[in-house]
Amino acid sequence: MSQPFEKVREDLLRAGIAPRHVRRYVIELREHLADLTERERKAGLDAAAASQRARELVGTDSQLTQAMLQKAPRALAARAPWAVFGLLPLVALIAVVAAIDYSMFRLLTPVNVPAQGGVPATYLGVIAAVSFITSYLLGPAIAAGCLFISLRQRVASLWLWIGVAVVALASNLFGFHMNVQAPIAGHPGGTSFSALPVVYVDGHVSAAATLAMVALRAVILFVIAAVAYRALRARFTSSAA
Amino acid sequence: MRSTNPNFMAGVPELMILRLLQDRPMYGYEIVEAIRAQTGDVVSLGEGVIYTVLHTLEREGALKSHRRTVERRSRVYYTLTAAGKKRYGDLAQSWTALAEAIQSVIKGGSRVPAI
Repeated sequence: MSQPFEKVREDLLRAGIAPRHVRRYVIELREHLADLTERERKAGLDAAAASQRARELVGTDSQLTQAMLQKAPRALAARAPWAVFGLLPLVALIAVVAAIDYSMFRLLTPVNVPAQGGVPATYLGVIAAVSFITSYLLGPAIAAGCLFISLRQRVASLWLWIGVAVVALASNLFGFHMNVQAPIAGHPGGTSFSALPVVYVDGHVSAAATLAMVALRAVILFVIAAVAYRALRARFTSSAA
Repeated sequence: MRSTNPNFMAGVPELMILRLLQDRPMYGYEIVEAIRAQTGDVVSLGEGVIYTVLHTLEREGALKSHRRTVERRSRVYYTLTAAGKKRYGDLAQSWTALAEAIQSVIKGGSRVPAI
């Protein structure tokens, strides 16, 4: 059996009321209902009758929902989904990548010179970790944040998927990339760093291969996000706000 | 959910809530019960709807809320702020003047000053 005021909660969230307001409202309604039920029981009603009487006194789901809709502010994600799902994730991604790249290039520029024999081994662990984070974790983390906001606030907007697509593409395009070129005939190989990914084919940078890799990884991230959204949607709808 | 004379009730819940909270912090159920008791059931607010009024007053700075556990029950208590006290003073003055004016009209008395 569902908790009291579940319908009120769902209707308010779907109408765009901020989750924290909905949560507080429902908690207070449930406390009020418990007090009224106790009062009616003390007045002599049996448990079922007391519960029913208390529920009538609190008000119908429709009355409670309408009262809140008239007064409570709408969440930003409901008022401006383009900003929350379309703009904010991209700005966040660019800001984080810019901060990481700036820090890493400041750190590596003095040591990554041919006269000093390239990057010292002690730096390689840090470089690999940062490269892994920007390449594999940052984009999924931001996309997961978008999905969480959308599910929690019951916002089903096209902007969510535009935002996830943009993040999937941008996070695979911009990052901190360590590019390792294996030595082959005529090329000594080496390690370089860039904000954009680089794929070498036969000792040369291949724009086509690079773009294909970016597109493939973006599609994979988008599909994972879509599958996760579908799997989690029912769970969010049935859980507490 | 009961409601009392909806056409005349605009502003009444707010006035009563602010007045009751002048004495001590209270939670929603307590406020509804106190209003019912003090008005002899003439005024009975919608039990659930009172929370939207409380939340609005809190957003507007007239009330503050805090959670407190009393007798193993967690409750949200509301307290009047300085802004809330001032708001109550203004509202009470307006309502008193309005009530006197209406009384005067009902009794067929002389002209009363504008509110």
